[in-house]
Amino acid sequence: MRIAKIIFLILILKGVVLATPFSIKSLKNNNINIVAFVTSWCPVCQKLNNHLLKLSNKDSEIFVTLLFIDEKIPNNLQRSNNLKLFSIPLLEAKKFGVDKSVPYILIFDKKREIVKKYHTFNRILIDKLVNNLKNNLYENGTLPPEKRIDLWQKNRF
Amino acid sequence: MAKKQILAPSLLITYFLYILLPWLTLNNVHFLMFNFEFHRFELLFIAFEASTHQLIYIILSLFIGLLLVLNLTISRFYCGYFCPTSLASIITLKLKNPFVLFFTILLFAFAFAFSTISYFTSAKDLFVNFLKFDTASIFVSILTTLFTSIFLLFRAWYCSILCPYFFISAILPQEEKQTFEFFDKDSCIDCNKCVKICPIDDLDIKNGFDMRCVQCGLCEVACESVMEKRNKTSLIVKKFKDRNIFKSFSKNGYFLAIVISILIIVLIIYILDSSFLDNCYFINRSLY
Repeated sequence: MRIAKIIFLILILKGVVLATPFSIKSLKNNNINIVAFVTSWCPVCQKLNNHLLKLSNKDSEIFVTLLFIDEKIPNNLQRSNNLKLFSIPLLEAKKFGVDKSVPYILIFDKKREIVKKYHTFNRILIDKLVNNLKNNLYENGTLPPEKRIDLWQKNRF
Repeated sequence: MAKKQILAPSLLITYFLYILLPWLTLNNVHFLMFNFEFHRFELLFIAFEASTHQLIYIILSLFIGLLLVLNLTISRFYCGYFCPTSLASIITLKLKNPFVLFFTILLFAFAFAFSTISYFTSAKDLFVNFLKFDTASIFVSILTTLFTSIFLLFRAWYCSILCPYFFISAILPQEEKQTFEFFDKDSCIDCNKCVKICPIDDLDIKNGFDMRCVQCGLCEVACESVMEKRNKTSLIVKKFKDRNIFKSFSKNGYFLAIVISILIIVLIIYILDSSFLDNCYFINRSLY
C-alpha cells in the first residue's frame, strides 16, 4: 500500500520536480540577460514581448527570458535559441521583486549582475542600456575605471 | 408672478445626487469614479484601466471643460441653482441659534467633503476606515474645515474673489444674463434689507448691474417681506419672468458649449488609450 502511495505521489510530483524553476544561476554567462515578468493580457506586456522577441532574433549577444505569471505559455510566440520561456505563479514571482503590476524587467550585465530594474516598458531606455552594455561600458555610457585615461594621474607622475 | 427662486429644488437635488453617486456600485464598479487605488477610470458602471497621470489629465480636462460649458450655458445661474454654497447661505438664514447653526453647517460641509473624496477612493472603505486617519480621511478633514470656513465665514466673498467658476464668468459678457433687477426707485423706503442680507459685502443691487451677483435671490425675498406690510409686491424681480434659466442666453454660447463638450469626450477617449499606460495591475486582470 505504501509503495502504491509513493508511486502515486511520484507520478504527480514528477511534473513539479522535472519542470526546472527559474533561477538567476540558470542565466547564460557572457551574454546580456534580459529577464521580463509578463502576462499575455496586458497591452504593455504585449508590446514588450514583441520587442524582446525581435531583439532575441536579431542579436546573438542578448539572451531573453520571459516569465509568464499565473498562466500557460502562449503558443503563438516565435521561438529562437536566445529565448527561454517559463510560467511561474505570482507568489514565486514576488520573490524576484514583482509587486502589484506587470511588466517587471531585470537587466543583467555579462557577469550576471543586476544593472537595472524597470517597472514599465520604455523602448528607448532599454535599447540605450543594452547598447552600452554590449560595448562593455557602464550603464550610463562611461568607461569602466580600468580603461579610463586619468590625465591628472599621468601628469603628476 | 414667477416662482420665487429661494431654495430652488435643484439645489437639494444636486446636493443629494452628489452625495449618493459614489455609493452606487455594480459588480464593484462605480457610476463615476477616478479610482486611484485600483488604477481605474469608472464611468456608467464600466471600468477602464488608467494610470495615475492619465487619471489626473482626465480630471483636469473634465474640470476645465465643465467650467467652460456651464459658464457658456447657464453662467452665474449655476451658483444660485446648483452650488452648495447657496444652500448653505439659505441654512444660515433659517437658523438663528449660533450653536445649532455651526453644527449643522459642520455636518453639511462634512457630508460634502466626504462625498468629494469618495469620488477618488471607495466610499465604503473610506467610511469603514475613517477613524484610522489615513491619507483619505485627513483630506476629508482638511476639506471639511475649508468648506465650513467658506460657508460660515467667507460666504460669497469666496464666490466673488476666489472661486474658479467666477474667473471665467467674469470675462464673459454677463450683463444680459443676470436677471435680478431693482425697478421701482420711488416706492423704496430705504430699509436696506436687501443690502444687509446679501452674502457679498458692499453689494448694493439698487445701483444696478454688478458682476459679483451670484443670483441667489435672497434680496427678492427680503424685499417682499417688507413690502407685504404695505400691500405691494417685491421691488426686486427677475427680468425674464416667464423664461427659465436655460432660455435667456445667446445661441452662440450654446453652440460653443456643445463643441467643447464633444471635445472633452474625444480628449478623454484619447487619454484612455492603452498606449499611455505604464504598467498593468493584477487587480485589473478581469477588465481584459
